[in-house]
Amino acid sequence: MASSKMTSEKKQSKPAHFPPFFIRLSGVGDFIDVRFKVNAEAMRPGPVYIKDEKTGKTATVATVPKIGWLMTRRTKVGNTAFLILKNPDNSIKAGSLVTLVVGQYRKEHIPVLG
Amino acid sequence: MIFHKHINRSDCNYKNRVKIVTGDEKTMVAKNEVKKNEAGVSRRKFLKTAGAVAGLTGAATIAGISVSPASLPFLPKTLQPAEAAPSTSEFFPTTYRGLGYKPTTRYYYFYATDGIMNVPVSFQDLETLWSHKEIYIWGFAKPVCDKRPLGSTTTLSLDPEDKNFAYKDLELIDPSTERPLMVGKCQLPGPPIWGVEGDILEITLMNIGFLHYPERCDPHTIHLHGVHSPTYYDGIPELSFAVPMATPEDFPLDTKEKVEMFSFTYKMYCERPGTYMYHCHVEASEHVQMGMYGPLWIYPRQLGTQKVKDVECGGWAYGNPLTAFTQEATLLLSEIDSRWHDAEFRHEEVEFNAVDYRPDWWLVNGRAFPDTLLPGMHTQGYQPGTATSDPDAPNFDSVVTYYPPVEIDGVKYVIPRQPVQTYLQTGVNEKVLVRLVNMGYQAQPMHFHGVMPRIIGKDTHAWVPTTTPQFSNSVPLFLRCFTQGIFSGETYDLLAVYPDKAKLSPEVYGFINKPPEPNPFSAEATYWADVVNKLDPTVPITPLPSARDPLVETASGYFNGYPLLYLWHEHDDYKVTNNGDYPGGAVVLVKVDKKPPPPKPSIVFSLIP
Repeated sequence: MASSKMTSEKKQSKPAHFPPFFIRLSGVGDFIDVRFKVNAEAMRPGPVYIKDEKTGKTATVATVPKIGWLMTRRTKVGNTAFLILKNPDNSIKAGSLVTLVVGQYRKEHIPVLG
Repeated sequence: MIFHKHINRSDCNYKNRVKIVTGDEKTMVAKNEVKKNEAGVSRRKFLKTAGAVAGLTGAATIAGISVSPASLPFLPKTLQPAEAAPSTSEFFPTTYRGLGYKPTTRYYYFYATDGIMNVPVSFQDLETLWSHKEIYIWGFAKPVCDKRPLGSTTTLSLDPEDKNFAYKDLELIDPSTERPLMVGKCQLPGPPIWGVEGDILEITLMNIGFLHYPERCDPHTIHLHGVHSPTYYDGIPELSFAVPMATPEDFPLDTKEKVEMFSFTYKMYCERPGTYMYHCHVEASEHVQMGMYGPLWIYPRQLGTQKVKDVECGGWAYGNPLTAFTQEATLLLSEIDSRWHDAEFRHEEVEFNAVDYRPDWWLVNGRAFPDTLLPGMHTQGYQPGTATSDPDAPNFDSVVTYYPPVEIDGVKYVIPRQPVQTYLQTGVNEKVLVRLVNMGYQAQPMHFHGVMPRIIGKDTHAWVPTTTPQFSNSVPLFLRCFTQGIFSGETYDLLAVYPDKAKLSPEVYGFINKPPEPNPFSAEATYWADVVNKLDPTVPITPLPSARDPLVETASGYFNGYPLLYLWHEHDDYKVTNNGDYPGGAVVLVKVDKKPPPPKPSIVFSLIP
């Protein structure tokens, strides 16, 4: 695995609290990429979406033929996961503050990165 | 008329185009000397001359002169028109010079070094405490850096006529001083090389050594795969030579002798249009797996015109209008076995045995899904250097797409790591040229959803009816494919055209032209947490709620109306995984809209050499 030489830079500023790692525009703004660490609250049943706190618009998981939901399928507490949310009208933009809901986990005022 | 759009808009008289590179008189003289001495010259003498060119560059920088890429001989020149256009009946490369055609030389300058790439994981990397796994790689790098300020909102343009053309936003890092800066910062895949039929490419390779494995002294080469090179330029070390690696003690490379000791210029005549690749051929089983490869393609000169390729409107893949395209997408497929890379990084005494090769990540243009969708260097609106949501976390750009920024004279530079975004935005009836390249070791069946691409070429040979002498041996076929298998070292040129499905069958598909309705499956999709809980026996399963979440009802798109979302993926479906976790790996998303696509291609490799 990665050694200290490769990672010393990150160790100095390790992300101590999760989730999420980030929420950022992806696919030229057509999608929103959410990477987060799964905690116990996120594992409890509930919806998965982000909501633009200003406009009230929501973004849910994108689906495509064959693959289906563009998100992590198997996970457990402590793992990292991703969600590809659809943003077809590009209404959620870089800088928007959103609320992330994953299961029973909820975190507000997260900036969307460009 | 297939190409009416381009003919109407072309006006592709390169005489009138903005000249990007002005050229330095002294350095150009030196380059001309290289050309004169090319035939029958000894390698040492050749290198000596080439070294003089690099020496001029280095000397200028040492003297404190501001050196712009435009004044450097190895950077590309503007495509220049022929003095007289060849007639259609005489259109093949060997007549270019007889017709007064002046070959243009395009210059590339690469470093060979090592670096770090990242792949997404579903587990937390205990050492990085991050969502990505670091993979040690070797590869190529450009000594030119994006000098846009971090957080800048300016975008790089691909259009040389654009006043914001990227060259002005790039700056060369001087070979005599940059080792601490560029060593250990290769990119995956290697920088693209492109040229025009009948022209000449000169690719200078400087072997600046490894950062993470400094005791290694591997030489490197550039093998121009598919090119009819003489042995001298073929990059096979067993048959000719390789470029030795500079050690840390050799730096700075501030003399001609040092520069010529650790560099060599490969030359290539652009004989045939089409898609190629390049890679290092030193211990190829190891060096290629470690990432020393990149794409290469040649545009044809179009019949009866001097037009080569309209950056905005597309061009022809081969010298035949049946190969006209409006968008261009390069899909360079490869795969990695992280154990091999980790073994190299740990400097294990017992080397990884190649027969144990068992890849765990499959890549498209150097990234695995969902990272394929993340912004790249030429994504419009992308702001490099954006901080993460977590103020304590490292910059995400430095985790995936870029190395941590470096500062020189108060200016922060961005150095690409995996800079290619692979997300195709297109429209109905647009002609998308897909350059399919396999630089992995496995055969890859690439499946294209919603479209049946026409195979217009394989390994730089057009598969279309031809009227030109140069393609007299072409196979006049109109083959199409659901899935195009591609072996290692092969290239295919495919033309993908998405028709308007509503017109295909209004009775069945007409609904896609109507306003989208709520996605009937959204409610299930949103209860992902419940779905995954089924895999965790410690968490009780809760039935899905009977009523849909009202929030979900407001969301739609990508499902039952334009824009349509399609998938291109490996049909060895286990390759659509990241170390076994689905979905991931070799996945490309394609958005098809009724509207024309954006004027700038969103998926092409950089046109910046």
